[in-house]
Amino acid sequence: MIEQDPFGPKDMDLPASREFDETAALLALAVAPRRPPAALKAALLRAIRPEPQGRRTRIWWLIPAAALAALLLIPALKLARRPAAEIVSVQGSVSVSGRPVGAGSPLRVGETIAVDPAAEAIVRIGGRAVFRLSRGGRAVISRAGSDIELSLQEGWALSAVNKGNAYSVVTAHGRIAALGTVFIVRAGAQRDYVCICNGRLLLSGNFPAKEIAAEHHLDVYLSSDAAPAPAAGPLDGHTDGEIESLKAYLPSSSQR
Amino acid sequence: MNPEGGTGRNTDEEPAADQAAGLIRRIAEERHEESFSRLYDLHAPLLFGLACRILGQGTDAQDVLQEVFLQVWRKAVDFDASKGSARTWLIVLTRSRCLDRLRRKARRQGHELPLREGGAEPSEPAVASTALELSETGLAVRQALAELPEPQRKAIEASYFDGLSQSEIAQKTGEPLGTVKTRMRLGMLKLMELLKPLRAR
Repeated sequence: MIEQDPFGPKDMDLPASREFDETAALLALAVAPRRPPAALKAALLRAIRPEPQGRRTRIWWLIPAAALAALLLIPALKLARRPAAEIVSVQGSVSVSGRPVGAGSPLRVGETIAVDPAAEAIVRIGGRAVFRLSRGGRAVISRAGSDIELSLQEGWALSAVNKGNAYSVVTAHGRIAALGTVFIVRAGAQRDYVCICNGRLLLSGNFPAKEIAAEHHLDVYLSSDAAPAPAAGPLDGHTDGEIESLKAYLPSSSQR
Repeated sequence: MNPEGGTGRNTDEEPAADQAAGLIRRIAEERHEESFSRLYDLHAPLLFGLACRILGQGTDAQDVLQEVFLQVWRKAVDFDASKGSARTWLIVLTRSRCLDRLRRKARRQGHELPLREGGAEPSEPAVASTALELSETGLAVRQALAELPEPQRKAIEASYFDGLSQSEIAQKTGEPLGTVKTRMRLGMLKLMELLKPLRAR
């Protein structure tokens, strides 16, 4: 909240009243409404959505045991409150929910990380996955834990995922789910560009889910109204050298 | 709101104002996702328009909109219908976050908030979103603002939309502080009278 609203009844020697507040609020209606980007609502709905029902049901049986463990293991509780991810590298101007950040800053579920067009940030999600956000990218980690979900609103995200971890990038056009894969997504207004650099992806959206595997850079386009189509995308921003330097931030499975 | 933003006046706003309180109650009591989605559809264009007016059309306005709706989801229980309408609550949340961000930014960049010229429209070119038509209520508010003497209207807009204090307005316009205060007081009293029929809705 702001320190002090300069538009208060006191400032005008008027009594505080509901009439004053309602009149002040009406002033906002003098501004033409604007339709926000569609991806914003999608990201919000994902952020508020609970874990899938099956998972919740299984977890339900663990609650009494978890409560007991929490009582006995307070340090473990502190660990659980840790941020979902850590920004491990920053080049240029990067912000989290509007605040400028640098390497070492935490990133929590629901917070928006944004990079300027010429900037980039590398974010490590535990020991499970790492992504590089670039080219005016905006993204939200909408789910962490055993099932990571990155909501990509704009820009490019190059991701590397350690084997055995569920990881998805969700855009306005669909979901790109990976298991032990390196892939890049550019969120576009009409369609997304996806390159499977190495591994296997499951693409889903308003089309039959499609599994695609590639050992070396396979490109597809993803849109809301058509099945994923092969494409000759640019090998831009995700050369083998760039992928190796990104993967260097990801501890190997045996190290975790 | 007019969902396409094309032709035709937006006349959905009054029902939206009525529905919002019920939707917020369901969010608070049942964590009802559909109500959240509906509330967003009804009010996001209004709140996003306001955020763009205060912050410009960069990503700040999107961040604020996202923060406001996450706050609504988490703190819907804080809404008290006896203190004001749901629309007022949402506008106050949005404006507070916008001004907070505006001041933080100005502090970081080491300068004061600017006094912007112009009416209730953002000065930056439209890049991030599509402007929709004003609602009937919006037109009436704009008309009421236009009925104020220009110095009163400008002082009210500078304070409400640009977050300037009366001292800052006085400093920037070269007018005595007392004059600014009187202008805002008279302007607001007149607006309260002119907009009385709209408040009753």
